[in-house]
Amino acid sequence: MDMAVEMLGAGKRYGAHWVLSRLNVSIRRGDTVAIFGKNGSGKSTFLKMIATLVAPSTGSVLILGHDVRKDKGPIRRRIRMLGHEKQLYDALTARENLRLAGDLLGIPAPERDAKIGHILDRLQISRLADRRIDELSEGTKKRVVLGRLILSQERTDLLLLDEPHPTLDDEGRRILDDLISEWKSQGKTILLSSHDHAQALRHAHRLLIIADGTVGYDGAPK
Amino acid sequence: MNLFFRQTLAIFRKDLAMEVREGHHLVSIVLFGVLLLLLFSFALSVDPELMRRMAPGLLWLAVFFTSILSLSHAFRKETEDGQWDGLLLLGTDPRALYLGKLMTNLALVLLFQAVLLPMMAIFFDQSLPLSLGVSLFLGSLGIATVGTLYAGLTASFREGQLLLPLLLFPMLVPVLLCSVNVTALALAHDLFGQQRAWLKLLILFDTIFLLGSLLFAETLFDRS
Repeated sequence: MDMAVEMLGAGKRYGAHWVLSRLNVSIRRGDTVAIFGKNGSGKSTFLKMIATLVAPSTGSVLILGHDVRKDKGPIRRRIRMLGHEKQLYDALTARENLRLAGDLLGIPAPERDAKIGHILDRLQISRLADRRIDELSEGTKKRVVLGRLILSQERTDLLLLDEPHPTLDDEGRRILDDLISEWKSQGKTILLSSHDHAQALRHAHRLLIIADGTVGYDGAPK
Repeated sequence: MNLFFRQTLAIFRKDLAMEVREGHHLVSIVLFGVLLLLLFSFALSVDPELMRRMAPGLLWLAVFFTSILSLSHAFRKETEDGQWDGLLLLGTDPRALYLGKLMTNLALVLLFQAVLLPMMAIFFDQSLPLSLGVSLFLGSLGIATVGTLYAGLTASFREGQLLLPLLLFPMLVPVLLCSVNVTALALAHDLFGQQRAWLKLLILFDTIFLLGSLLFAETLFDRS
């Protein structure tokens, strides 16, 4: 079976404290998995390990067939993460932030600008596109972050969404839910961490509960 | 265009745009440099001949201190809200990130030179020969090359701003020594042709620092 994520005995230690340990997780390509757990249970570290931002202290972690320790480049080109941090530059406008992402992804300039125009329309922020990020509301900033995900969605196989709903307004949540449904229909693998269980289980057909730094439950939602 | 160079240029353009928009920060640094030169000239004004002889060293000290202020700011905007991770997750090559930052820092050090040099000429009563340009560029490149690497390295430390000059100064001693000598010889119109040997040494240091920094940038700028 073609796997998106394969962890074997993986763990992460900061100093003497093990944040995650004994992780044995396999996720097939095309699956949508909800990840639940209390605050501080290690959900974000789990997702960051998959995103190659945190190196495992022990065990093996393969993402889309590549080792996270050796092949970060090929993994990063095919995954996207929506985390707690917005990763936007305050002094740049929303359009400039998206252009920067397009350039770093290597999208040709005319295609990049056309895509950004469509994305801004879809996210209903076209009239705010030339305002600096620090002049926008939190909800609008989060939509710009969503815009960055859409910009690269054709090249993306694995999406990591770390509690994406709380800072979005109602319209933003609706747009995100539509996007998740779209990505699912395109066969992308989605890992969705959330405290809003009902919202997450609307999309997921598998549930992973992280407790005390390891997987406490792995199976169908009950 | 090759993706690596496109990423390098994108980082450079982004940083330059942000520096221009936050111009008050640059103005403060430049004013600090000018004030430093002015204070040096006051301190040495009792002996005009000594003041003229000390001018190259004091110019490079002012350039070093203004560069430190600018370098410590260069990576702050990458660590405020996870921007550094964001760049890596968009597939940015850590070496392209380093080179883009290096180009910005070099542009800023040259900007400081462009302001401080005429000030030095006025305060220390010096004429400025054209041959000075080469030494200023090579010295600035040396500062930007090592400075960018160390600024990136210390950016995530809590006391990074204090640590940066402490780590950077010993590394920059060879570059500063060569730059001061080349500048002094250029200001004295290099009557005995000694400038070339110092310039060769400066080029050697710049090349070693650039290649070494590119080699380490892949590991140091990856951060995971």
